[in-house]
Amino acid sequence: MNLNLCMMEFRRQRLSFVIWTASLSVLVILGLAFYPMVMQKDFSAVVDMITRVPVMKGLMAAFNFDLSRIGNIASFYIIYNSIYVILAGCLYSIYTASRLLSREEEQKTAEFLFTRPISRMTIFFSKAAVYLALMIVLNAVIALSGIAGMELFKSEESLITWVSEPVKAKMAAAFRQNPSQFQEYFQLSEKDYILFYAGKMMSLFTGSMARQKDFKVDPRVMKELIDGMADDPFILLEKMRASPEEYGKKMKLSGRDYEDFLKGIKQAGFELEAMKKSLEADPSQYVEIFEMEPGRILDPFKTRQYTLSRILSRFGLDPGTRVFIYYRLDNYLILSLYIFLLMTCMGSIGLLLSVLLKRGKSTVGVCMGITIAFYFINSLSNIAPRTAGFGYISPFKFVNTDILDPAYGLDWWRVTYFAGLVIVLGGLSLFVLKKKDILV
Amino acid sequence: MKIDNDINPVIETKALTKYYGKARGIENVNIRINKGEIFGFIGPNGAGKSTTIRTLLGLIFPSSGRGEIFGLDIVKNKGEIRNRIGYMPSDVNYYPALTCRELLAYSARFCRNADPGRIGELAACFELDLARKFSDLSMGNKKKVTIIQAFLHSPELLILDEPTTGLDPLMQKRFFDLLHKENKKGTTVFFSSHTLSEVQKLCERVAIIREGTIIKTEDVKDLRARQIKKVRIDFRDRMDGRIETLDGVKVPQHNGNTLSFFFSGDINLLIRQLSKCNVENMEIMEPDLEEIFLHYYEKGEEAS
Repeated sequence: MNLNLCMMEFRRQRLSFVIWTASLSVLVILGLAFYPMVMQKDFSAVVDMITRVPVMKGLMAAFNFDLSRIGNIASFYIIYNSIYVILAGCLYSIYTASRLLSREEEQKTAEFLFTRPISRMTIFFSKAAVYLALMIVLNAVIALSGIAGMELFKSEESLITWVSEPVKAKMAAAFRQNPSQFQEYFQLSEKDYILFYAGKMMSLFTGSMARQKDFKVDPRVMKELIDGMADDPFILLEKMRASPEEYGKKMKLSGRDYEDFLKGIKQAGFELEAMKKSLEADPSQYVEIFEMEPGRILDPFKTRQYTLSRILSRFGLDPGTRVFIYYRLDNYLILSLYIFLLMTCMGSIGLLLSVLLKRGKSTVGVCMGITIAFYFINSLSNIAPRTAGFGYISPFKFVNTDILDPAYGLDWWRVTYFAGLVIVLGGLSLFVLKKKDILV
Repeated sequence: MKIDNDINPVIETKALTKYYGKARGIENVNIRINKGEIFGFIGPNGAGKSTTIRTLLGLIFPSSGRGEIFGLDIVKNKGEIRNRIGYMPSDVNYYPALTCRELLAYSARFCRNADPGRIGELAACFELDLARKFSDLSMGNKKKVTIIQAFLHSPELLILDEPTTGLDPLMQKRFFDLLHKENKKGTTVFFSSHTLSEVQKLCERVAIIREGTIIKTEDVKDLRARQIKKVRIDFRDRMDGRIETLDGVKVPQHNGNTLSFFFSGDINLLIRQLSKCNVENMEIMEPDLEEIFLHYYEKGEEAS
């Protein structure tokens, strides 16, 4: 590394770096400032309705949008994160990296730089080090802005995501004593519980709810099915059993799918029955459901009349207890690390472009194209479980944004993937740089 | 100060060849430059001067053949070589946002033995305002920045690629003075140009390159001393056609009653023939390198 070159590179990057970092942080905080507004009843109800239309559901999935997630500030952050920070950050990263060396050729300063008494390897590592330092600072600033934004705009009415073990035990105990109390506080009805299982039931009927084939189903038919389920899933099931052919036709099932459907409706009854019975026997399962999918149970717009502290006191807990966590800092930091790794990975693609593109020709277009293509490959692959596999073409797929998952953590295979890609692409770039003729 | 050092030439290339894909860059270039020499490298644009220089500097890699500077391989020991050479590129492109002072200080910090004090000294000599931004400079002033950049670490070898383009005559003179001063201290100079007059003024030996190949390397003295005269005769009346057919007359040109040509034959024959003519005026001049150069080229064209 050559300090002189590093300082010059910093100087050259300074302005665009400051602008990008500032804009991204402001966007993060502004995005979070929308949170209290989104939490208002009407807006949410509209979003909720939209998400119930199957076609929209798929589209929403593609954009990583899920109402049950929006209710939590950390998840809300991710929705914005994925648009502003990840995409824009990756664009900045790949573009900056792609200009590291090509800019010297483009501005014809390569002749000067490459005739200084330093090796090409030194030039490469000096520039790469500056780039890496910029990325570290950028990601640190964005992560801190995220924390600042969440601290500023978190609200008590927000959905609860994580319940600590002792509190969970207490709640379950209170629940067992008086299940109706819990249902009252959280305004739960059997319908909520059915709706909670609606997704699962649908998959029992069709094999997979989110299959792309589902989109061919007439929305009216889909609405009929969903309404039928919400009214009484058992009656719907009976109807399906009585005339499977009719329903098969309605849902446009054929071949193996139809066989799956026949199998599904045979078993669905048992499973539904089992689910219902087990819930009646042990209402503390609500706590689990509540943890798994808080959006279903703890719709904040219903619980408005009960403030958090009131619910707490009813459970015999100190109203000051931190029962509910707005976000988990450790998971948030792990996510930030993933994003940093992703950006660095995009940067190493940029670095390779930097040595390959002649005089940095059409760098902007190529960088944008690659980033956006990868971004959408990942997005589209989220539509359905069956398409998930092909998403792994894209580095975006390797960022685990599912911070609500209780098992969320740093997966070494993801880190290895990113680090490996950076090393391979970086090494390749260095190899090309050492062998190539410098254009002057 | 001329030190003949045949054992350790400063620059030596052996069959240095560079192809850009299929396009020719240079072919079979053999140069040997001794310590303390001012060596000229001339050829028209596109002949391969810059390609040779860039190969020597390690910016581009030779397709075949090899080269050594200070006895070090130009491919393997680029870093060490660059510490000891000053390079002036033909096109001046520096970081536009920097001022001249920043640029030169930046350049100096790369070198092992740069003397920052020299920046001010040389800037004063060339009347360059160091506080100005590089992008705001005129072509000539930009060129001055590269001069200072190439000289400020007192290199052992100066590689100058068309250094005088854009400089006004006064600055050219100062530049040549500086070059002579450095050369007296023992600095070897490799000087490329397409204008021969400056090579004539400066250099001791010269290599002529054309279409990627070195046509000839010789002493400037020898080039000039060769028995070529430039003759111009104004006839009083009609021109004597026999003069043109004399042995040694080259490139005759008529202009009314004036005949001019290059002559490399026996001067007595010419005098004898002229005595039979009615001559109003005549001139016999030393041809300049420019003309000798042209002459080489025409020979080349005849051959091909």
